[in-house]
Amino acid sequence: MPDAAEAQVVLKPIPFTMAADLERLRTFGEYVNALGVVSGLGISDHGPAGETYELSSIFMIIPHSSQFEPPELWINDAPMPAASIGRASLDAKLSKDWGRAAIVALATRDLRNAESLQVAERAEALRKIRRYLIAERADVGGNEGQSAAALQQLIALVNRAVGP
Amino acid sequence: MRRVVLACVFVFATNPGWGGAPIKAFEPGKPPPAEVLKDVPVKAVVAEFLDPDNTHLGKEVGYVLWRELLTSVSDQHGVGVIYAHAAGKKRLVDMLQDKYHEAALEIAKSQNARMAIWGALTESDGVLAVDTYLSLVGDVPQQELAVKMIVDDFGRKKPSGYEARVSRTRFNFPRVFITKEQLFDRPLMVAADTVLYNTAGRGKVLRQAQYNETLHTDGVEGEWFRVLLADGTHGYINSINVYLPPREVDASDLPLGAKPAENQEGETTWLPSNTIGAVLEARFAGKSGLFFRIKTSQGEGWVPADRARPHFSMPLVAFTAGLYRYQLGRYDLAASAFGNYTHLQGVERDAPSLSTAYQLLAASYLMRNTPADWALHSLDAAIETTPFDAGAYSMRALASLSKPEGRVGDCLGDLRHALDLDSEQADARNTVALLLGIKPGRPNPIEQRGMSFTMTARDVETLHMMAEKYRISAK
Repeated sequence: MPDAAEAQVVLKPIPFTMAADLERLRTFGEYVNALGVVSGLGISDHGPAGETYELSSIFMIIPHSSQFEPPELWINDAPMPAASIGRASLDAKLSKDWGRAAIVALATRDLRNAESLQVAERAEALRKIRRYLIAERADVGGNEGQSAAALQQLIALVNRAVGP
Repeated sequence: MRRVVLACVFVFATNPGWGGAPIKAFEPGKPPPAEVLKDVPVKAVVAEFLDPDNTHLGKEVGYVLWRELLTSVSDQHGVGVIYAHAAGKKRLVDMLQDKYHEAALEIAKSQNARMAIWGALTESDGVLAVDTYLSLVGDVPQQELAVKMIVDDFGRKKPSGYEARVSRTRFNFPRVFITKEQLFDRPLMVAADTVLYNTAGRGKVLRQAQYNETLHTDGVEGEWFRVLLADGTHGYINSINVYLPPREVDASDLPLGAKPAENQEGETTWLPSNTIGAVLEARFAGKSGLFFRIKTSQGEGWVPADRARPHFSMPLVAFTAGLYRYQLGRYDLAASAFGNYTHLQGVERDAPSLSTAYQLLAASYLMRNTPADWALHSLDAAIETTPFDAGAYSMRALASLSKPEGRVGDCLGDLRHALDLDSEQADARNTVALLLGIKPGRPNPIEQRGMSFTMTARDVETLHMMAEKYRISAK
């Protein structure tokens, strides 16, 4: 989590057999009041170069706000040799993107919660959200512009509400 | 002419100590351990690594990192590295779970340490994946790592009020993939006269081990390094008595000496650029400091450790070595360490830590009063690495102002960019407020602050527009 965020995010593994059914995943995420549900699938292929896996994962953001429709974050990997796939190499590839998606999820939830606040309290809550979004955006690398899009959108939304 | 100079705001007073110490920690329900190394001003705590896969290497990797860190600062006074580990043979597999980071930070605070270092490791097909993290504790980023410009006003140095600092306090370094052999099979140097035992844990004494002697370790068991003996058997040395030199160094453009000494007799071989040497031996040579004996394509010989770029097992070591030196006001050495970090393989995989290293490299240049262009060049690299980092733009604005005969116009673009990214960016707001406070209409208003930069009417107009947009008042 970026410096300005006070929240703690906990990751729990859930055994789930219908990972491809996104609506059921969302229903489950809403039921347990999750920030997001991460799932994925792997398709194996036996080609001339040996067994490969094509992996696809999704970070589904569960909270919604009337002002912001969070994106579904898909990560598709090119086919990888089965021998090179290990837990360490996989989560090294995915954790940064998931971490950023968790911030977007947190901001979406906090934006939704801020809607019910009085004007002054709401402005303060929005500034707080902006602080951690800006801190996270500051960490975006020069070649990671794509992953900054949702952050930019959320910051612009807050700026419109409370000014620069 | 009055001159802008930069100086450290942190000054150490007297006779600082040095050292490493292990402490037993991570005991739920018990208070944090009592402070050790009390007379050491700049300390870091390394926590035993979390070991979710139960590889039984969490303690051992922590010991390696601890001793590597100590080696990296072995030429510095006033520094300490503390290793916090679970008592006895207990291991941090799941005893703490998500409270691990908080526990490491609490221990660091209780030790009055400025840096908390922790990590986790997993194993896959014989390769260890090691994640390392660093948190700056307390007001380190605000005070000890700040760049503060001072002015020389007819011989009286005083704060100008212009400041910049890095904005991050937590760093996730790029994951390191390393084999057990790479981590544990290497030379080590005896740090103090001691003995070798026949087992890990003080069994029978095999022989004396002398300070400065190089041994070869091929494994670690808890706090004990296993070393190869001349007869092919093994002995054990406690980690407290060990320096762990880097496995290799970048020895580009260094003299390769026949002996570990500053002044070599006879003809000296100068190593060409891009020379990487495997470290065979390490030795302190009196006042000349630490030397490494290395093997290169040009042959074997000795190079001074403080001029070689060490490649320790984890990039965090180079970064932390820079933090220690910067906080001690040894900016030349800090610049060297941060510069080393930016050249290490794989560091580009974590943009925030790389950008911060570039910013601290620039800060080191600014604090030692080297040409501002060096700092500007580093800050260009920082901004290219993390283009949305308002703090980097703010520091580049300061570097522009610090140029001899600097022009305010040169820094306004960066200040505007910093505020567009983060309207609350404190250093950018402070700089704008100070520049606004320079009253127009006086014969030479800039002279009010003893600064040597110049400001045009157009600069004043731009500043007022920024002040209005971001509600900044003159100071």
